[in-house]
Amino acid sequence: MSEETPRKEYLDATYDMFLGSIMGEKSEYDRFLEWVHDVEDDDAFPFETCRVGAQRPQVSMRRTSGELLDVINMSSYNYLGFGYHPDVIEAAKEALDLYGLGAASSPVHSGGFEVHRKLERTLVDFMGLDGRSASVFSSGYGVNTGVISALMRRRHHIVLDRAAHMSILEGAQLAGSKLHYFEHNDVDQLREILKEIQSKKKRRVLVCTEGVFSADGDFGNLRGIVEAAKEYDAMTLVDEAHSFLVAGENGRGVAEAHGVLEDVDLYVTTFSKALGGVGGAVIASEEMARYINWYAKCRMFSCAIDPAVTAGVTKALELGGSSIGDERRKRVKSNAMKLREMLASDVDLGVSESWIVTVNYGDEERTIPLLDALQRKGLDASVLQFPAVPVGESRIRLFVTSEHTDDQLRKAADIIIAAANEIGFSTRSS
Amino acid sequence: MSEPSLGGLAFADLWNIDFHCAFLFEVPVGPAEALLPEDLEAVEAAPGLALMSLIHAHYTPENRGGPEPFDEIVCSILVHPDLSLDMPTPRLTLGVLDVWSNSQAFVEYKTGALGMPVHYHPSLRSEIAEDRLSTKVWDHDGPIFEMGLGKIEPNFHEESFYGQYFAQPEQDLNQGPWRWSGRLTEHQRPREASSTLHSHPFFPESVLRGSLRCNMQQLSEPGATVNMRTYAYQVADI
Ligand SMILES: Cc1ncc(COP(=O)(O)O)c(C=O)c1O
Repeated sequence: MSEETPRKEYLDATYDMFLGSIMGEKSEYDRFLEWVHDVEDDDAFPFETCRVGAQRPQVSMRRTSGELLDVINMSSYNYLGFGYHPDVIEAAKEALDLYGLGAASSPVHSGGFEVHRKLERTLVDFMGLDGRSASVFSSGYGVNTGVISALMRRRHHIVLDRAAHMSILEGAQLAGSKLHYFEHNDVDQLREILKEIQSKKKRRVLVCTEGVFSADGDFGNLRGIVEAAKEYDAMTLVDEAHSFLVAGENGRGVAEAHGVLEDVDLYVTTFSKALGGVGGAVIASEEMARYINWYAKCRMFSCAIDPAVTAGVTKALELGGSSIGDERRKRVKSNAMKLREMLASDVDLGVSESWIVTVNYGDEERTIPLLDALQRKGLDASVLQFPAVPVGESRIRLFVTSEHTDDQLRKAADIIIAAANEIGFSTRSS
Repeated sequence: MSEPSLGGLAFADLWNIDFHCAFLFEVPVGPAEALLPEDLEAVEAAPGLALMSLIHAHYTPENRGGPEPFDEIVCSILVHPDLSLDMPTPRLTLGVLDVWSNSQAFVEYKTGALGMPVHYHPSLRSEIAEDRLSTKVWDHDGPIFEMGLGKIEPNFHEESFYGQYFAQPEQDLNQGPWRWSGRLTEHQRPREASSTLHSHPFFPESVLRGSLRCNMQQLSEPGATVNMRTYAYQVADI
């Protein structure tokens, strides 16, 4: 940084620093807002920009300053582009005409519609598992908090991958069960923990992990984890939020790819990723699913998912199970591979193996200038920094979709490489 | 005549009770769980609220405690059941804290037969109101509790339900099933019921500090006999 331009104070602060005061006053709100304003006054970073159209590979977005930017969109989860597929929109419109806007009641009271039943059946058919049912929730987050707290209680044990999503962690905390953590994907450590639990009292044990971990873009070691859990008579919950419809030969997730689909007790998915909608579901034995319907509090005491989204998601699932799904699954994987190849010699790609391509940039103080630079150069990406990841391990996440063109991939890679050179996280030795 | 077993445990006894009053009180879950054996988990009726069950049973003389009629009082915390026992869904599972009776024969028999902490308190006395809708219990240390329907209009009907209990009189945690049948009236009307729990050695002090809202009232019909079936107990493998 040059002598003439003094370093901005706001760069030394990051959003995670505005913690609540232990005293009575509420100054954290004021301080946080002041920081946001300082950043915004300099137009250094746009908080909460708005899209002005659908989550397509190329989008227009309006910054808080009012400026409109045209960017390549690598920050949405619409992995197969179904969120704006004409058939999906048509199905949602039809349901909107038929049922109106909302379900207007809890799914266990009067908020159940025929579209909900159809979605449940389509989910179970898609999974190809006998004797299973689906319990549908109005958010993917709610599936984890609701399911875990419905099935697990204080004297039970929940064993979590350290990298598990916040919704899993919150569900486990809500259950009040004894929590145990194993290092990310470490099956040996998981076995040790399960052995230790088993040596004590006979208790319900739930092991929670994911198909694709969204922070690192790597795969859960499902074969090893599910086998270990079975060996010790523990139940498994696998969150395939980022892998449902994408991973596995038929899109049934990493559990399918690892050959353990039938052994997963609680298969969790969201509708907000490859299905391009909102909501989520757990696929479990008929008995468990029925119990969850009534005992997951955030399902029972909350309005059912809206009928138009439900119909749209069902259509997206039908497309995902057809040859269109097969094509798009192939394409999203080859697109991710291409992008990785374009970036590999210039930046640190971390451990990512999936359609979530990560680029490590290290220091969290780079977050604001980096995001700003990316947007201004024409790329909207997602960043993760402390406390979501450890200090000094900040990363860009690029959500690749099947609908990105080669040209868009090339441009995105060029923008990242240019930003890496400017901001100083290029790995290319000059 | 031998009756069928329950949850794989042999039928043991049929108890005839001519007055049965069982009320539930809301108590803070922290202190309630602290009183329970480590392996038991209190049912949370609402976040932070456990339920304490208080029972007064008056037995007819032909029971094992005779030849005179006698009293039993039971204080428990409602806990989660053991559903691995093959029996109909238990309606209530009692984590038994203490049982007192004024019949030595009953105390001796029940301690052995049910694996419960039953204590002999010869000075235990009760006064069941003439209309048999309320009861008062005391001993030489003073009043223990009063429980009654108060302003609640009773609605007596035939009822039968299953339950379980856990108790840890010494080292082992014992468990067993039970079955209640008879005519009763049951309500959830805390404002209309009348109840007072006194500061008395029978009650753990820690639970008496809560709000003690009376969550549920169950009372047997005057003149009718309640049948309580108990079974062999086993050491809980939980
Ligand atoms: C692994 C995982 N589970 C659950 C969720 C929550 O899903 P939703 O956004 O559909 O509520 C997410 C969201 O990002 C996720 O990454």
